[in-house]
Amino acid sequence: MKRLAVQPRENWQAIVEESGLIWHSDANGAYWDESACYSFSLAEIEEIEAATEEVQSLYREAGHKIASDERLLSVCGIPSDYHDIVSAAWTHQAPALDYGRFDFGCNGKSPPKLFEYNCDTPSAMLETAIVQWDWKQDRFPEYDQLNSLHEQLVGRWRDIASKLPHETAWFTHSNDPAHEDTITTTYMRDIAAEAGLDTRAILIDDIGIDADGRIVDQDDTLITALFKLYPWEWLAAEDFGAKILPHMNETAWLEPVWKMMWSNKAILAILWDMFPGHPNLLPASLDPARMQGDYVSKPVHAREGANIEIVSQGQVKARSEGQYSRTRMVYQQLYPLRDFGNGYPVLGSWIVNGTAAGLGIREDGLITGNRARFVPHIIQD
Amino acid sequence: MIADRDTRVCVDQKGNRVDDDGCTRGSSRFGGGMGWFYIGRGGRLPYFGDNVRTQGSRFVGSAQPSAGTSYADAPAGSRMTRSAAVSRGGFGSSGRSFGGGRS
Repeated sequence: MKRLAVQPRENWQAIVEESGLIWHSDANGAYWDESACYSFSLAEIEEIEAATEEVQSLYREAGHKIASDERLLSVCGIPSDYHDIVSAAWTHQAPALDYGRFDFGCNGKSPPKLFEYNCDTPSAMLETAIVQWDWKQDRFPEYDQLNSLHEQLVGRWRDIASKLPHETAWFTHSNDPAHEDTITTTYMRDIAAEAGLDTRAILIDDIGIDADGRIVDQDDTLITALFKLYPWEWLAAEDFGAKILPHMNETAWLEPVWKMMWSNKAILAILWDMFPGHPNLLPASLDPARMQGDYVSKPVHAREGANIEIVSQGQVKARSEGQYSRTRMVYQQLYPLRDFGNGYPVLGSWIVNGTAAGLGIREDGLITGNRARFVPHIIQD
Repeated sequence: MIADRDTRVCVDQKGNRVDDDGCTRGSSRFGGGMGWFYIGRGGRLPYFGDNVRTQGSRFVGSAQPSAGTSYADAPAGSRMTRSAAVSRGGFGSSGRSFGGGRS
């Protein structure tokens, strides 16, 4: 794994905007950073792919355990009125894209180590699948890239289309100021349309409920399948969260509600309890007293690296701001990231239905937050 | 939704629109008594559950096809169930607070 300096393409901003990446820069500089790239050998890529699929299998085993254990459902931060529906959705394996992005640390001295799994509302999908591929084709057409995300998602939509009533799906997101949620959801909608589905869009705020608590769109049409770039823990906590429960099964939710078991950080401690010493896991606990050496504290529910602390020799070495509650925390052993020249890279390894599907790398300081830069990669072998 | 061609929809014995499977496969899940209801181009198409026989119905058509006319299946956009919202805005407050739901 090497970091190479690369000449950015002339007018790269317009090029990536053409692909939809309109949030390529902000007041602090570029988010999309093509002044460098990471280069991997094929053996390194195969190690990342193997780790991705291995860790996914661990999550699946953990899902079996959590779904049948009220205590663990609570540990994962799932409200009690959602326990039964989460367990039932897992047992019946409600239709799912079953996709997500594992964030791994990798310093070249150890196997990839899991930091967390973003599998409910993963971002950086467009950058990974489209923008960095186009960059590679422009700059390094002779090399390869770990990237079949678009094709695998199209295939997955085709797989589940027949399970969605009339092969129709709605797509929802919040009206975020940077339009990142908007474009990411729209990209997923394009993928579903490519797979042959009839698609419709609705802002999360415009969703209504009828007298029975069924969700309807802006035209009062019952929503029978909903892709949401909106976290389950938010849906459950908001005004409609309890009202939709009686008829929740009349909508195919993508991702399904069982993803609440995986899309929290308490599961890191559950995984370590289940698979202590696993080469792709870091020691993790809900009890800071059980941590040996330096560690990272993370809220059970938080996003984009917010409200994280790095504790070294008993002292807070780094801290990220945020609005998330730190009343329920997970503690994970600190992994020694390596600075390859301009920050610490975190590997975002995508998976679709159990198969590794792509790699997106973000560079930042010791904590990878929403100021991280996306740096493309190539495979040189 | 307006029919852009001569179109047929499946209705149950009460006149409520159901999935076309009820007429093409003789599905027993609808309880029998299924039949086609034929709507000319430019007519309003019912959604699932809409009744085409209600007095004063907005849906103009016939249980008998016009001679020599071929009828298309209803488009996917009409294969929906409508139900009036009693409330909106019960989702989204966290997104407004945190600035987005991505992770």
